[in-house]
Amino acid sequence: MVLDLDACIESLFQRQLLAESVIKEICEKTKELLMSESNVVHIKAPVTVVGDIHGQFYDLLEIFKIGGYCPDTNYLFLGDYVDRGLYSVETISILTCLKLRYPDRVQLVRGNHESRAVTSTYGFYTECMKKYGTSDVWHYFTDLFDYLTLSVVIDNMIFCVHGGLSPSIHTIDQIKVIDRFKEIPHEGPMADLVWSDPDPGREEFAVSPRGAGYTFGSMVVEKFLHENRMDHILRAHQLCMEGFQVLFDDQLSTVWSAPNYCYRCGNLASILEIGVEGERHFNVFEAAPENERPTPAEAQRTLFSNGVPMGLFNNGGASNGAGVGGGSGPNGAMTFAGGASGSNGGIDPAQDTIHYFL
Amino acid sequence: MADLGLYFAEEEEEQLAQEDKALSLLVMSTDQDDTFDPVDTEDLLAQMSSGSIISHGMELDEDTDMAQLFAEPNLTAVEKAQLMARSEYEYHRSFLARELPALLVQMNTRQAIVQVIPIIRNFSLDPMDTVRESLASQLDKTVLYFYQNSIIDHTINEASLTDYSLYTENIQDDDIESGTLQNDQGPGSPLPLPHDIFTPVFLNLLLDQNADIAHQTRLAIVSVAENIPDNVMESEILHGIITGLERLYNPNIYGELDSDPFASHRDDQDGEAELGKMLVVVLLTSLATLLGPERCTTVVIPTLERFMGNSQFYVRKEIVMALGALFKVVDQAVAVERLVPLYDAFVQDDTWHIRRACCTILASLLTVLPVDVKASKAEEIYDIFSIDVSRSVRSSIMEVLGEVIAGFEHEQVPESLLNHFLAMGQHPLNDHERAVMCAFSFPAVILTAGRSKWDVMKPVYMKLAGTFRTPIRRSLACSLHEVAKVLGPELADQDLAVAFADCLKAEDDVREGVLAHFIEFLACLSPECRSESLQHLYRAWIDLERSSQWRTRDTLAGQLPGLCEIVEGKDVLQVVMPLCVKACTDSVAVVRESGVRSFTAFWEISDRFGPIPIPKDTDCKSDGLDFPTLDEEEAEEHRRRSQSPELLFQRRDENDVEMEDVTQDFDKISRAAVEVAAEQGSESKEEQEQMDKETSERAMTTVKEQIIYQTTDFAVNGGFRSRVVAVQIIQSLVEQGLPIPEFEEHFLPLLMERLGVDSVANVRISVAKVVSWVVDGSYYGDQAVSPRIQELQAALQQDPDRDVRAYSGGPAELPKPKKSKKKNATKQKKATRTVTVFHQNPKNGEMEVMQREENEDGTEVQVLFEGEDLLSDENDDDEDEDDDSDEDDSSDDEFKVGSYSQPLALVGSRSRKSIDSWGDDLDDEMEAAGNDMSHTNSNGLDSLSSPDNSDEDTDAVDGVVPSAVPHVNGARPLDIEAGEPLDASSDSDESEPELEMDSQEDDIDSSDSTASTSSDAVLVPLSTTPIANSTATSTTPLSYADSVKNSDDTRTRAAAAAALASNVSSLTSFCQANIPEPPCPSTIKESVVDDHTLYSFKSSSKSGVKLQLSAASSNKEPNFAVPLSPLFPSLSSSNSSTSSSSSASNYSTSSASSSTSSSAAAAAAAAASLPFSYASVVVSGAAAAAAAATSSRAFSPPISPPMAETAVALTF
Repeated sequence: MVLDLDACIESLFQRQLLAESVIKEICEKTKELLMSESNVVHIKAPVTVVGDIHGQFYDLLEIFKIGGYCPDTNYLFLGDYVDRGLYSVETISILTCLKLRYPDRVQLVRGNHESRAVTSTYGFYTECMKKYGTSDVWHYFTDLFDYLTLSVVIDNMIFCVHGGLSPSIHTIDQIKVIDRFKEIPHEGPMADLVWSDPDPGREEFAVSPRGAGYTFGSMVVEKFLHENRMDHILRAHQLCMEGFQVLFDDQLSTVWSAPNYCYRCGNLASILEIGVEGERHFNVFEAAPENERPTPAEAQRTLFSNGVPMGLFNNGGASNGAGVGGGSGPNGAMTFAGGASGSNGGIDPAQDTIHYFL
Repeated sequence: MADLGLYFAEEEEEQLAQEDKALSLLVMSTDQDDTFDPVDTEDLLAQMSSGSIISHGMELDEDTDMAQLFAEPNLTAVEKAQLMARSEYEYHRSFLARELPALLVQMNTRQAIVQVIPIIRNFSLDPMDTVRESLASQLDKTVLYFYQNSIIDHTINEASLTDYSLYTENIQDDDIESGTLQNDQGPGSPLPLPHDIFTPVFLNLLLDQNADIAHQTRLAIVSVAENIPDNVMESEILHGIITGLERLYNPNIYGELDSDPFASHRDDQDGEAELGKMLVVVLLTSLATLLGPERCTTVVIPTLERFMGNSQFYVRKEIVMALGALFKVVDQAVAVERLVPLYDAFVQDDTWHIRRACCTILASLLTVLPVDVKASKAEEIYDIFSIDVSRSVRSSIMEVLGEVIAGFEHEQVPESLLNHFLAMGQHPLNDHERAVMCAFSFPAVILTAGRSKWDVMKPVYMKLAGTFRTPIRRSLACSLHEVAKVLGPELADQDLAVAFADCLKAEDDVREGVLAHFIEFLACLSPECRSESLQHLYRAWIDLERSSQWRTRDTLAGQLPGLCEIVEGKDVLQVVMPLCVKACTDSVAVVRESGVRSFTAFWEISDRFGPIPIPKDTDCKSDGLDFPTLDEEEAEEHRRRSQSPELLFQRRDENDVEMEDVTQDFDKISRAAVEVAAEQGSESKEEQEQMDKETSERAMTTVKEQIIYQTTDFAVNGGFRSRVVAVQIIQSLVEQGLPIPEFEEHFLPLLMERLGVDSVANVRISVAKVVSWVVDGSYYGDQAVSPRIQELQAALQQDPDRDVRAYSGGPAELPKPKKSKKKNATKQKKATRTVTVFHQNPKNGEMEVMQREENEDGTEVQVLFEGEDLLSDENDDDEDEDDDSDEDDSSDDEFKVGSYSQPLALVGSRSRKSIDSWGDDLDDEMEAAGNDMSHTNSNGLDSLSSPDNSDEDTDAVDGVVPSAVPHVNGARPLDIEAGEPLDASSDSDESEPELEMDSQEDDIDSSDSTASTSSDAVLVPLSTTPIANSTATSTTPLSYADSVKNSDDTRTRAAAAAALASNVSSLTSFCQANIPEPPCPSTIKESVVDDHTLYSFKSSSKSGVKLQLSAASSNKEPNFAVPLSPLFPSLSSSNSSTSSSSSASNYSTSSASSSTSSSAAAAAAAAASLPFSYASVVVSGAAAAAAAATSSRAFSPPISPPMAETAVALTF
């Protein structure tokens, strides 16, 4: 079987889910690819940096409209692809496909939501169950998450990470020696990288109100940049009402790419376009207009609601056992979206107060 | 509850509350009746299922994969359906309900009738909403299948159930035996289908408690009715469903007595009856067109007449709506005679809902009235309703005024209606809603009333247009072009052009409205006025650039191709072309795409224009950024705006190519641009201005030249996005059939000399796409493809970027260019298992990669560096060549710097800084650190620069090549390590070595005033072993090795041997990749905190052990061992039984021979072989000590206990 990635990508852009077997294959291949990546991936500008997306697939489509499609534009995604929004599956599917299709054009950094523990609570797991009727897809993706890199350095000038700095990391070389191929631990340098936040009111590290990671102040940033001979720290992880925030005398930027977060925060979003000379431009945007979003009924669609998926393998006829027909037997319950009346999507409005900490 | 999807607008009147109460009572009453089952299907279905063809033992599991089942080849469609239908899990049944249409086509009709209809009927009563929902969503397709594949047999009455079961038995027997899936009837003889077979299904679902299901079902009925023959429709829908519905709820009308003694029960009955009536009316309304005038007259109208008295208001309301539908269907005479009286009666209704409904159908009513009474009727109704007590009614009647007026012929609009209409717009501030309605209907009214009424209407229009209320203005903006069409060029120029300009300056919503149809509007203007309005358009774009509403810009950009059609030559250069340029350089990708398309559209129609004089206005640079006819101040402002620093790719500056330069020599236009660009800055501004003056007088240009020029400009002067746009323009032109000579003359040079060798890979990728299209497509047809293109393609196929190669049809992998420093390595690689070691060349001090065959003893894992094959594999294509070469260059230099000025040959993975700053920075860092690293380094260098020792060691250790051997005052790090008592069996994995390191560090910091000297002594041993020092070059980098090419599955690391092996490879690959990098003092110390370091230390220690064997015995290390050992009390009792590897035993023997205690052996054993984490701990202890000895606070991380734990945990 030959995996036709372009067809997969096209299908996802057409808002069609991929078949489970296809996702499995894609995740396997992507793992192999990611395995060879360092904990610190060095890339070159120009690149467009995208912050948290959180399953807001229609806003991700907006990002591609604004920032351009691959391979015309290089992308660096800073993590938190899933949870919260209604379309985590679509979001992570398309990002994974793009990474696999254009390994040099797309970089995916791990965020604190790229973990089993968090996704099982904040929506991704539920969404996988609803859309595929089995948790297998969730397993494929969360296994893949273990392979995502932790940080990226652009042109040896800009250090990019999902959360922030760690008291146990002084040099970028220390990041390189972290064993990252695992679930994000509760503490330690790996946890800090995906959990920490800058605190403009401080100079040093302090306990983070999030319960994981630290907050870090101006001195920490200054020292880190100096020791590593960098110009700038670029991260995501925090909601910015204007879509971005620049701190510490232009030494640190937060980029946030989920407009109207959770469909009700009313915030702007941005993508950061970094030019060849290292110039930074925040391209600010709003949520995709209503008429480009699906109706509530469409939002509840499952893999089957458009008929039986054909899969996107070329030469699909010659199944060699790895694909659909290979039958590994029963694997988890089939559940369908419980009711077309659209209120209970990925977010449970009753208990979900938007919580700053996740 | 039976919410039928009716929604009532809010109304504050008392009446509403009462009516709502009535409704809620009704709803509550029906609430109890949730098992409505008009026919007793139970028996029927029981009988049917007894004939099931599937054995009853077969059932679906909860976790059956439906997709698999669905694709299962061994089951027939019927069997699948039966399996799923019988499943106790709702999602199975729901799945089946959704997929029924797909399954049905795989069965023969007979099977379908016999097996599937019972399933459908069951599903319509399924307790689970999801099942019924799925059924309803596919009901039309499902039912249509049956109606289309069989004929209705009226002899089989649905009422006589036994007949049906007999019938089904009759038709099912033979084909079950044969098992054939073919329809064995002849084409002309479809199977008979009992009359009313689906009526119960429809009724069940129509009356479903779930409003969505009821609604879906109504839609399904209409959809079915539209797709079946008229007679079937009449018998199954009209007589089946509708009559059935009526009969169910209104038994009274069939003559039964209504002497029901139980009042409450009768209320329920009434409630149901009203619902039933309403459903009937709703269904009739939606089917009115299909039923046709005759049946509407004979069936529908009598029904309505019967219902209209004595019905609940919501039924009456539906009757009014039905009238609206019927007006459009029945004959005029019937309408006037029978419907208008009904309407008149409803006009007097007490309920405002009904009166409001009368308003909404007024326009339909008027259409059927004869011209002579139409006006009077309309005026009569308006007299009544415009003073109605209900605000809602008053509002509604005005809402439809526009539609009503539009129903009149030209010039026949009654004055009073027009006055009503204009009155609506008189007070836009006080009566906002009406003003919005007025604005909304304005185009329709002016169209009907005609241009002659403009004088009367204009003041209101202007008043509305002048309001600041966005909805009003937006409404007018959206219809501006329509009004302009009615008024004609003269009036449009005079009155509307101003409005157009105003709208363009207004808020986003208004601008959006006017921009949606600006071409149509401009087309209505006279050419002079159009030209002026175009200028406003250009200014609007500049405003839009600052707005977040990029969609508005895209709306505008998307219409630029259309704009080309209506503009004249001068405006092309002054406005349209600059707008295209703006679009192409927009910050939003899709707007740029629109810009690219507009360029191609321009090229298409370029012949229409011919030569165009270039305006004399010196402001009019072809760069298109400055609007030429603006006055100077404004132009300046616009220039500033358009070049605001926020734009990522600013376009140009004073040195840019001027259009006049180009127009001097059209033939070489693109070349000229390239050349001029090449001399950027060399040409003085004065010269350019001079040239401007000379050329501007006589200059003429063409659209094509402009396009070529602009494309060239994008390619030469733009940022990388502009350069991508340039390629896209070329691609777009080529795909549109650009003549080959023009391509080769104007664009190919750009591709070859500029874009194809662009520094940004994305640009080259775009070029690769074009080139592939040109070469592989039929662009050249029969001609031979230009060799220049082939040359370009060949170059792209060898591009360092993988994507460029892929898009140009090149190889996925490039052969790796040999790097000089790897020469040795390649040369020496011979056996399948080879090992490589970094080695400092004694002659030039440079690092080399050495390889040796690995010792046969598999248990021994040497600290070795794998062959370059691994490296090249990983390193190969992922980076641009630029990257590689950069890295190489800098790294070579860096290494040299490191190797003499900073003796420490430790290599960090720090390739990112330029070399020039390296030395200084390093010094700074050293100072900042305030540590004694330099001493350490000195030692490192010493060791590195003593090749003799190194060689000896090499010999001594079974062919393992150490890169260098330390001779640190004779100190033997081995012993130091041994001095750290390790008890592998203790809870050393919890021992938090970093913590200990901290304390130790404190000790040293505080006590070691002689650090500069003693640290030498301390350090060397602490860095573990000879090889650790040898790896003064390699050890620390080793630890980073993982980081860079961490391709090993770390989870397997639990198995020590495997982990070691994988470590070695990754370490190796790292070193190869990073060896040229500059030394980074801090990395030594820093790295120890992390686990990778730990095991790299460990692995290095093992080979180090061997080196150690030959090392001179030292008297010193006990001195160090002693102070260290207390730090590891728990490790002191050795558990040597755990040591199993030969290297470990080797080690222990050798250690034992030395002056160190046996605990050293234990430590070594543990470190070498067994629990990886323990080993790490040991090593990290040593390493921590090293760090402590050498590092200052600035570099030593404040490691907290949890952190240390993590570090330990990491190793698992």
